[in-house]
Amino acid sequence: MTPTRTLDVVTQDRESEARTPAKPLRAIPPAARDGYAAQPPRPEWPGPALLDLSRIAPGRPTAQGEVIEVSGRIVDGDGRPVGGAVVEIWNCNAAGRYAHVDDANPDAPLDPDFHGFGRLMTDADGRYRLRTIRPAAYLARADIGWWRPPHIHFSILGGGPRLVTQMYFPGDPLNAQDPIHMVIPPDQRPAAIAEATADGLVWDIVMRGRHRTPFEGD
Amino acid sequence: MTASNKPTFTPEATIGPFFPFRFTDGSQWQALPAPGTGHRADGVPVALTGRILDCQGAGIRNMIVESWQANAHGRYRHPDDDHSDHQGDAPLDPAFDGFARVRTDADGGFRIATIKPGAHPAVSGNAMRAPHLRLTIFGSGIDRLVTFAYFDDEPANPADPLLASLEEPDRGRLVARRSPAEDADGSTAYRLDIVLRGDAETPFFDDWQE
Repeated sequence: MTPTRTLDVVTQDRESEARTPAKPLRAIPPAARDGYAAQPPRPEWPGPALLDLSRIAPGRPTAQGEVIEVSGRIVDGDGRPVGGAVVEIWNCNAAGRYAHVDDANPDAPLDPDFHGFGRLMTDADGRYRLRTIRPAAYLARADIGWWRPPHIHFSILGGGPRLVTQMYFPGDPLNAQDPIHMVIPPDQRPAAIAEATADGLVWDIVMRGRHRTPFEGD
Repeated sequence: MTASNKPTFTPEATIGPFFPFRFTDGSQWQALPAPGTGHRADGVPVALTGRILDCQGAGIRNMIVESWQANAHGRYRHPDDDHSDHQGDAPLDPAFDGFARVRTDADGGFRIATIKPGAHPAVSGNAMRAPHLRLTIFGSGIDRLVTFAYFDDEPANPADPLLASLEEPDRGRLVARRSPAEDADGSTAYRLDIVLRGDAETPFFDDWQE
């Protein structure tokens, strides 16, 4: 049996220090490996091929900042597309503020034209595409000068163990100073950074787990 | 990224402090049919209540708890659970998906209203899986954590292969206790506190090997 992992504590992150289990994760006995990867109910979808977060609704003004598109393909460890997966996306605005009640950053104003969150479903080939505003860096802890680099949060349900992750931007010098980014093992960090292409940012995602992902309609 | 034959799995990250409320509040992602509908899931309505605690024993607000379980007949709504190796024929319940997502309150408290899952045969061997919920926990500062919640009045618990893989007191840390004071809305309440770190740390599991 493969040894189980012990989770890393993010340095300088007091929440991580207070909340990360100290003991190694336990192995699930083979006879009990019957969770069948949680299958959340599908959101109301298919919608448009493109999830557009750059404006609150059609006809409303475009949010402040640089409009970017991010696209990619979600596959499992065998390279098979994860079709019909529910993808949740959220990011802060061009000033570095989330449209969330807990974000009270006084130096970063809310943008009335930006919510910065939405859901989509991957197509049968595992592809997704979204348009949003390039998020700014923001000061996560003023006392130690910890700036979070620009990043977009992704949550993927349906297709192996649940994945919550963050997409980083290529070439950003803050990446290498961010404890949350640097807790990723060095050989895996490139997999958390999107690629800049003529077609916008491209970020492919590889999910763990042996279970086949059911397609919509299965 | 996938130039070699061996893919690099996308690394996990903390969900952070700003997971949108829209993704939990008013969501259809509750284990039971939405209030006001005429649908009733098969089985006994239960509520799993508890608090999520840090290393100081303090409740943690704004944690996300996801629950996933079999229906009252012991069947998961998943294409791989075709019951071809099960005794009998456990049906799907059209009124029950088995997935729920809630957010902890200011005291770290949560309440998952669902139905008690059925026992079902283990995927190998002759053991039965006792009724249980699979809980996945997210929050600022941590990556995903996976644990399980059992019910203290289930005679199937001692033979459950996952519970049996643990020693006391860890085993008891996965067993929710009957909590009559919290019964509400016709549901039978069970209580389980989840300790993320510390002496009474809840056992968490590695599902990457599943």
